[in-house]
Amino acid sequence: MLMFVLRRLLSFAVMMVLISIAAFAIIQLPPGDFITTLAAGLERSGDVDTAQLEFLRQRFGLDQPIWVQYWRWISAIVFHGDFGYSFMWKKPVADLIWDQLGFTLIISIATLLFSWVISFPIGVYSAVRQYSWGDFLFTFIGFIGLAVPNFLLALILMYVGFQYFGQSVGGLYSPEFQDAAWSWGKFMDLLAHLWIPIIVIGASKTAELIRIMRANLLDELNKPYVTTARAKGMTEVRMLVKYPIRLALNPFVSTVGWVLPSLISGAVIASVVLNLPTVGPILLNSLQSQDMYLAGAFILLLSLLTLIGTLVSDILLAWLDPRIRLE
Amino acid sequence: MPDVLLEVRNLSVHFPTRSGVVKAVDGLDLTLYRNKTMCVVGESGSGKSMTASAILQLLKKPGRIAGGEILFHHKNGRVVDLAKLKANSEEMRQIRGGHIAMIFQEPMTSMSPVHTIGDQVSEMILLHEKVSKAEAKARTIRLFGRVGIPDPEARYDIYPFMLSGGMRQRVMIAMALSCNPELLIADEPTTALDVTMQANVLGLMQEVQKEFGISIMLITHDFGVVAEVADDVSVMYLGRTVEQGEVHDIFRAPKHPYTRALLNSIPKLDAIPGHRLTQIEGMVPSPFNRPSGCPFQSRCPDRIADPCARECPELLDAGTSRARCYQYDPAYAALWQPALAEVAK
Repeated sequence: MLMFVLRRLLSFAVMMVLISIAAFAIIQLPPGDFITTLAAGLERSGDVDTAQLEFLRQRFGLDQPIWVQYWRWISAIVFHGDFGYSFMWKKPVADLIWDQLGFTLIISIATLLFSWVISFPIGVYSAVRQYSWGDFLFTFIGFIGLAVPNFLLALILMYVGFQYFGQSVGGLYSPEFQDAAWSWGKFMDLLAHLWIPIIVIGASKTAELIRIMRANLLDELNKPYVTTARAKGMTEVRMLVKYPIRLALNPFVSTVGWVLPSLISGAVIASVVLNLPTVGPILLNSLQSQDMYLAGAFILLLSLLTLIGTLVSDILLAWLDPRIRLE
Repeated sequence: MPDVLLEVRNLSVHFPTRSGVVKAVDGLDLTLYRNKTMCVVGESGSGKSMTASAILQLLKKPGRIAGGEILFHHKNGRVVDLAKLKANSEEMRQIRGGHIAMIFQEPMTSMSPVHTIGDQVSEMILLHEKVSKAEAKARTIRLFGRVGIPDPEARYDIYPFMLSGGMRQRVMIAMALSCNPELLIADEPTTALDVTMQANVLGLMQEVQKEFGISIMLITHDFGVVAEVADDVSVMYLGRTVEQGEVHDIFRAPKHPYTRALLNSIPKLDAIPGHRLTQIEGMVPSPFNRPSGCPFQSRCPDRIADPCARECPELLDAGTSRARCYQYDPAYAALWQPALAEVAK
């Protein structure tokens, strides 16, 4: 097990280096840079100061060869925690990203827990009572959850929240708490707002997990070892928990790895509609305006989180399943 | 009269499907004696495994016991009808593993891949007896040693995928023996093993049978295995026992036409080279479209339309064994006399 973790950690480090290079390459890929965009803007207003632009280019090292730029960028991040400067916001990137990343993490983890808590018992029920009325009902709801686009669900839930619960919708706080310091009231307010994004972002994931759990458990229930366990004289519930459910858990655990990337790429539109301070919308913006250091920082950190998620799920899987651990 | 352990009377197992009810077992009679090995033989689909599952109420949905009795005779003389018990009732669970243990065809998949073999075997002891975990572990290790697993202490903590098929079947046997059952049902336990392992596993089963004093119900389609281990044989065809008797009598003088046909289709050492083996004409009828009367009448060389197509007799005394065939019914036996006289010439 220790060897397994060490091996995975090593490949984690290698992957991280490769990803940082890829991230940098991606933000360098579009022709021109932020200064070009800036110059184009200035040109339209008829007020171009070439000397100043040149100065900016030099200051940010944009005239250097690409590997020098990469080294400057990555060494500043690794050694000083300095992610560079956002041209668009005119602030250091580090000041911008932590809030957004924090919210993204909160929403991701809450959504993940939500989908687990809902889908696990329903999936188990649907499999054990296959083709019962309950199974049909959950299957029906599940397919609706899969089929409805989440921005539409967002609009409907916002309407319901506003119309029937008198909630100020959109964002994560009511206006009075927007800039307030942290307090119990603000925390409760956050919770009151959190349910809409969690349901919106989590709905399709939950439906998917229900289907996965059901299908997996049905497979496991037909395996001979289940009959063996019954033939031992175990009670049905104990047998279910110890054997088939345990084995059907693997796909659940592996969701830890992919929930972050899918959340960020899939929830951009929902985030825009719900006015959520997650990274999706800002990342989109920064890419459009070639705000390279900001975009680079996001891509890098999201990749890091994804890798961590994958690492955690791999280690959990190895812990759950000796076939992975020992082979 | 030997001591009866389990009596199956007129057992029916039905599978309701969209295209009709499949009668996997249809009026089956079977008697098992203490300390004896009964081999149940028959083609695929004859209901051998279904009978085994029905005895422990392990039938897969939508299969269910539609009728009949499964009488289990406890040591103290009490008789329980297992067919009447609820599948997950306390009493049924006591029977499973405690009185009747079962091993299966596929040792690869019959154990959970993510639990150690020691855990899976000692779990059974802990389920049925009030012993400490340490004691269950010690007993499991002793059992592993008994069934011929080398270095049993070290093997306690390994997983099934780290063992060969033969070793896994030994673990299954150890598991089955762990609570001193009175009956061991073995559903084609050697089919998935190579020939050397087959002999080993069968040998082991015979050894432990003597040592532990248990009865074995061995389900197989291999007459070689039957000749090796059986005391009694029950031949099944389309969900019914067509003939039951002692192994020597069945091999020496098969009474039912189906048993005769089966034995004739086995390759023999003194066969003339180049000659084709005798085969049974026709196919096993579809379970949706069973012939009326005797189930074998559509393929039987001795068939006489009346009575064979009309009805099927009970197991009748046929001299050395009992067979479900009108040839042995005094009321009809005369019909076969001319044919038999022909054969005698």
